[in-house]
Amino acid sequence: MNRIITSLLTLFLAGFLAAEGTGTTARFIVSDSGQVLDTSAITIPGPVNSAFGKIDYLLGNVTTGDSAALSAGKGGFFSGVMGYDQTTLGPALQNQLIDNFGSATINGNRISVVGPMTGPSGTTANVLSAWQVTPSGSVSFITAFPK
Amino acid sequence: MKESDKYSSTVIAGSSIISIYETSSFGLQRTFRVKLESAELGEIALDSWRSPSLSFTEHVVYVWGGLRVFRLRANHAPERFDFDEEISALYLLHNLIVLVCELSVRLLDNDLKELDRYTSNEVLNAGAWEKDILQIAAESQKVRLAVASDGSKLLKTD
Repeated sequence: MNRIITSLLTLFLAGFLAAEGTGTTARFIVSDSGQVLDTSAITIPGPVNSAFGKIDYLLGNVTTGDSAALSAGKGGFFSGVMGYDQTTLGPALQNQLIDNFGSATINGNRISVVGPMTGPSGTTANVLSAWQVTPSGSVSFITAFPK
Repeated sequence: MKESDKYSSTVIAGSSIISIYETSSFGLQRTFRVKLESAELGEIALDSWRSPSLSFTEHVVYVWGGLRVFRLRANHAPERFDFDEEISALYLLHNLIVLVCELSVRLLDNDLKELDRYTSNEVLNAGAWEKDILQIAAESQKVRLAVASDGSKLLKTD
């Protein structure tokens, strides 16, 4: 029964997406397993319980506290190798989720996608990004790393 | 890369002296040679943007960075172990290893085979041991883990 509902939902959404036309990112994306992503619900948290947000963490800007060493390693890649900055990294991560949601791995409320990102430096690398569906329904970024 | 830009470090703990120095850099990889006292332990490669981290006992050196762990011993070829999450810390217990990754803590045996895992939806930091409890700061909470007395699993404590 669930499979039928999922199939019907997929067909409905496929029709909806087709009817929406092209040129902009569709609001709803369906994975190979029938899971639906509402792209308007994607968020990348700013500072929570810290002076630094997720983008700071990935760019290596966390210089104090328990995350500083991990952040330095992230920054070496996302800033140093890929060339991202505060304005370019967030949209790039959102697009990476959208572009690769079709083959996402979904475990409970965790979504993981693997796919290529091409940074402002011109370097292309395969990246895993992890997201979680929160109780409020948002799809919130957790972390990312080169795979 | 100029010779003066190459990474080089010596770590001394108790009577153990470990030297690690960069030998080459090519593309997105750089290689390091590792010595334990006067014994050459071999050469390893890490992603170019990572600096090597070390965990060691008297006879075994683990070099780790990113998704990779290398086990180095005198008179053995370096052994490489790949993981699917970035590594925050590698703790050597008596005959077990606790590997703290970004979104999980893994209990491994001496062959680095996984025995148990604690998973998190928050980024985990390296943590610190207080007696037998590993205390790890996550974003909204502190996670406290212990290894069961039989070494078979991780126990979450409050």
